Amino acid sequence: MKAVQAQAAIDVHALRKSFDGAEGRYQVLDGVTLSIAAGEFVSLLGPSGGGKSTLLNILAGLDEPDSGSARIHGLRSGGLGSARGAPPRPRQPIAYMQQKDLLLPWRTLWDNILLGPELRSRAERRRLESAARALLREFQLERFTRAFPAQLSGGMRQRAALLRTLLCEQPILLLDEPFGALDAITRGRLQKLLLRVWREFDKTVLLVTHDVEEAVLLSHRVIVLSAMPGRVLAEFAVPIPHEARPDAPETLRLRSRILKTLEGPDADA
Amino acid sequence: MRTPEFPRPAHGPAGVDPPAGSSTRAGRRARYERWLYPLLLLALMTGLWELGVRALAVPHYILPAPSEVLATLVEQRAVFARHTAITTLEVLAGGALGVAVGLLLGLALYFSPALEKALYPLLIASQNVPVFAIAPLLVVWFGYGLWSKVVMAAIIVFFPIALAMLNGLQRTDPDLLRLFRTMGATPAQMLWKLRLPTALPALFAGLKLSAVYSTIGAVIGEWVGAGAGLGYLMLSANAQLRIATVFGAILCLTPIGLGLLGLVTWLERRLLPWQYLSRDDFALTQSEP
Repeated sequence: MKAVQAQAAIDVHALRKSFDGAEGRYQVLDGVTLSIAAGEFVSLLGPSGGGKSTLLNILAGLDEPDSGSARIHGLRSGGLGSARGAPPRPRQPIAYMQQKDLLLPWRTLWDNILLGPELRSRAERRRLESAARALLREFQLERFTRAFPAQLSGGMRQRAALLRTLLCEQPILLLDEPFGALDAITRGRLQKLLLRVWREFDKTVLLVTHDVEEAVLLSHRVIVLSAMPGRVLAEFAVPIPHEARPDAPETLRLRSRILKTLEGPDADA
Repeated sequence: MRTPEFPRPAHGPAGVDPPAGSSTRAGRRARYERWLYPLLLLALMTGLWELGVRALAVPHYILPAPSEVLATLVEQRAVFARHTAITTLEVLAGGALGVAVGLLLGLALYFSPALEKALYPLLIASQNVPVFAIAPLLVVWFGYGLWSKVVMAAIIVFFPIALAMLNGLQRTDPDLLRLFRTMGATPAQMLWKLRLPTALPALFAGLKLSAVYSTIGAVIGEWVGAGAGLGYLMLSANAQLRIATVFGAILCLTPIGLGLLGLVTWLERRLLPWQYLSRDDFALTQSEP
């Protein structure tokens, strides 16, 4: 393999996507370009309905762009199709987590978190069971392995969903507002857990959020997307050590700069 | 009932009742009372029937007393046993055939939109034809023996099963389908690990219906043309005004449907434990770290 650039994990170039709506076609993504290095933690921040989820869907291969390209480790993503009974396709090196926990109600927590490896093969599932047992302790779920999702609290379910995402053993995590439905205290705990996991397992993370606080606390870099049609408005590096962030004055300054960027174009219009 | 084995918080909040059907004293009592009152009412009605028949001296060829029905059952137990066995066989075979056809049809309708468009309206329309109307035809085509009754029961059973299967499969969460797709699931894995488990609760509702329908189908088949079975026994005894035998046949018929219903319910509890749980039952939120 030739060394192309500094091996970007995610490389999105001039991506455009539109959908059919009640009032004709509307543009959701309008020429989005961004690049994320391996091991980086990047937040994608923007108003609700700004095409952030569409971008993740394209990266996950669930949707096709109209034009432009989305590459993951240099491989073009896409081709999953959305028709029923779509043909098997090469696996993306991504694990996708959403705001809904999407745990299977008929599976116990234990069987839920091992879904990813189980879909690959029985041997894969066996191989990851000991890793799962160790992680359960870290996620404070070890007492609930036999519980069904209906018996768990929202925070527990979301922890289980994050654990399942990790056990897919993919290098890139696409997180679509994963903590959006949780109360502030539970969200704070899960954010710390996510940081720990990201360090421990050397993952590349693309986190979609509309919470400026969350973006600044967690990521290396915050990419701000405009309202529809989605464009990259600005990028902010967060050159503050994670531990210092909650109290650092730089954090506050960065937060208000990002907020200004988010509100700016709307205020002018 | 099987209780999931995981530690419950030692200090549960006061006043949280254990789930119904649990092995606690309160649970046992609730279960016992569920049977007690209907049985008491049944005993009361039977007693009134007995007294009424005796007091008014109703002729036995109009309405026999329960004691006479019981005496007939004991006296002719060999006859009743033979006919009950035949009807049970028809109900089981017809039910199984109907369920199998219904399951396959439901799957086919789900996976083939063209088939659903063409066949679904016809299926609905076909349910407006009274089954009695086709029963004589079935006797002509399948004879006086077992097969016409099996087919009759299957025809009544397949429809609710196909409908339940189709509706159940259509409940599959599109977000879960997308999740499975990003995890690289094959179409077969999506069927076995996602679509079918989603369909199971609806399917069991259909199975409960068919447990009842199957008995109806077999008896109708026997009424129209048969040489054996409880339906045949009823009809021939009725013609000879042996009303005690008619009641005896009805008594023999009841446990077939009830037994099937009990079996389906038991299976549902075993296979779908998550349907009978909720977070409140165990108050797990209390132990959130």
